[in-house]
Amino acid sequence: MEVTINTVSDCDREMLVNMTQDELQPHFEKAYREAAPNLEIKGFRKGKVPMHIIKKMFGASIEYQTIEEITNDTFRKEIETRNINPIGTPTIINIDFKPGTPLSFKVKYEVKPDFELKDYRSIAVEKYVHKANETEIQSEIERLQQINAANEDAPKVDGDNFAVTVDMIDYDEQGKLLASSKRNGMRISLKEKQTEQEIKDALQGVAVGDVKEVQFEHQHGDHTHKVHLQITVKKIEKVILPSADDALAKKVSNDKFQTIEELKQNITKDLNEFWADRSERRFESDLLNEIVKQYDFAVPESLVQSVIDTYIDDAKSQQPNRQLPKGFDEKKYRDSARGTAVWQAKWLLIKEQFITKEKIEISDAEIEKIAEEESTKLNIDKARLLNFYKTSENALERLKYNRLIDILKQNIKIKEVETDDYSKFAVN
Amino acid sequence: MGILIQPLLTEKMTELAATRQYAFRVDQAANKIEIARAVEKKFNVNVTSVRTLIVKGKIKTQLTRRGRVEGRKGDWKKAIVTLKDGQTIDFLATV
Repeated sequence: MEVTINTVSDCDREMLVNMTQDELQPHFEKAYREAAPNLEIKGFRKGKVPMHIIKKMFGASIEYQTIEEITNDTFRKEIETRNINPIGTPTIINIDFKPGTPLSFKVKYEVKPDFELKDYRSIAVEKYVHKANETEIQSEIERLQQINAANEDAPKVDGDNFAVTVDMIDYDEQGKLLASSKRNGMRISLKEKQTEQEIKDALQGVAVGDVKEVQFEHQHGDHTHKVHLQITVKKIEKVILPSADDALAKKVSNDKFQTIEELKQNITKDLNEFWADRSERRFESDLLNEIVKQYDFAVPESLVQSVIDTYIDDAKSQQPNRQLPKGFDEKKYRDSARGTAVWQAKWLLIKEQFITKEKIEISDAEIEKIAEEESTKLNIDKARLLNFYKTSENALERLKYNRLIDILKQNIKIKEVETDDYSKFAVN
Repeated sequence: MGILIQPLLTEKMTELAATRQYAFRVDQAANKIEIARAVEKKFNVNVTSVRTLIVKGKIKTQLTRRGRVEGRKGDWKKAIVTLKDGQTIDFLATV
């Protein structure tokens, strides 16, 4: 048997196999022997057809059927012998065989790319940090005041601390009222940041029963459209905010905090924790980007596709019937997700090598410790968590991943950058 | 229709092939001489003997709404030819 392996690209390989008739014969003989007991021909009892008649009558079809088995077996044995680990599904192509002639076939398969881990200790990543400031704390206090506000009917709007209940109706492009667009009883808070300024302005000074027209351009995603409304005022309420004092602190915290200062301190702590978490996530994302950027190897297509498959499975699992929505263009989705999937596949390969190189293993004692910590944090039975970590491959992988991230964080150069720019905390 | 209708390929006839005997379904009107000539011509062999027999057609029963209907398959003629030493016929080559 002649076996040649061609390297088509970093990950693509082609195995060419040539087998002589003599090498094939034992496989065919075995196939004839296996087929004989089940063959039925008129004039012969079942299983009693002489071998030479079987060969004459069914030889070709038995041999063609056996070829598939031979190609699979041969490929499997060859990759075992040569210690090749194909990923994805190998494809047998170009089978060249006619009864009585040698067999040649080609198998296309993918392997993980061969690459050396690079030194990550020289990587420098900026870590954006943000401390809660007075404006944010004040804004949170105001939010709590709004939630706990009292409302009092008023005859007229006079300032921002009002909520107005209105009926709204749209005008069409020709300036006619669109009856079908009528929305009744909409409550508009004039303090609400999301409300269009034009509406807020139009409602200043109105009394119950007033009718106002408002026109503005509404930003919708990447485009704007013109809005023309008729607003009829149905009810006006004055929003009476509670004072930002100790009483408010007691009320919103169910007596956990006795003074407004204590409440502020707690808000500061919560906000700092929130920003620390966002900062950590963004930093982790930037760190992985920097690492992946170091490598320039081709990623096996089957791995990319399997990553996209997981995205699609995730999308399915988020649907009520676990089916993709009607009209979902899978091909278009696959194309659009490709960039992210390539990145993800690359990181998976790098991560795997890192875990091997750093000899990251999670011992039973460590799992026990993690389960104990998580059990307290998540209020889940420790034994259940322990069982989950010990039996779930994904959970174990996650623990190894966390360990790897810790190692990376400890060894790279981190430059902390204090910022008030919230966009810096978005994860790419 | 020719004299040789079809070769008979059965377990029994396969065993007989070991002694150079081959069987055919033949035209009922054909005699041994005609059968021998037909075999010699078709397979390019020498026939040393021909034995013939009439196989009685089987009775076939069918259950219908009008009751049991019995019918009969037609009789047919079988010929067993013996070839000269060292000669063989490969039926499957012509199948």
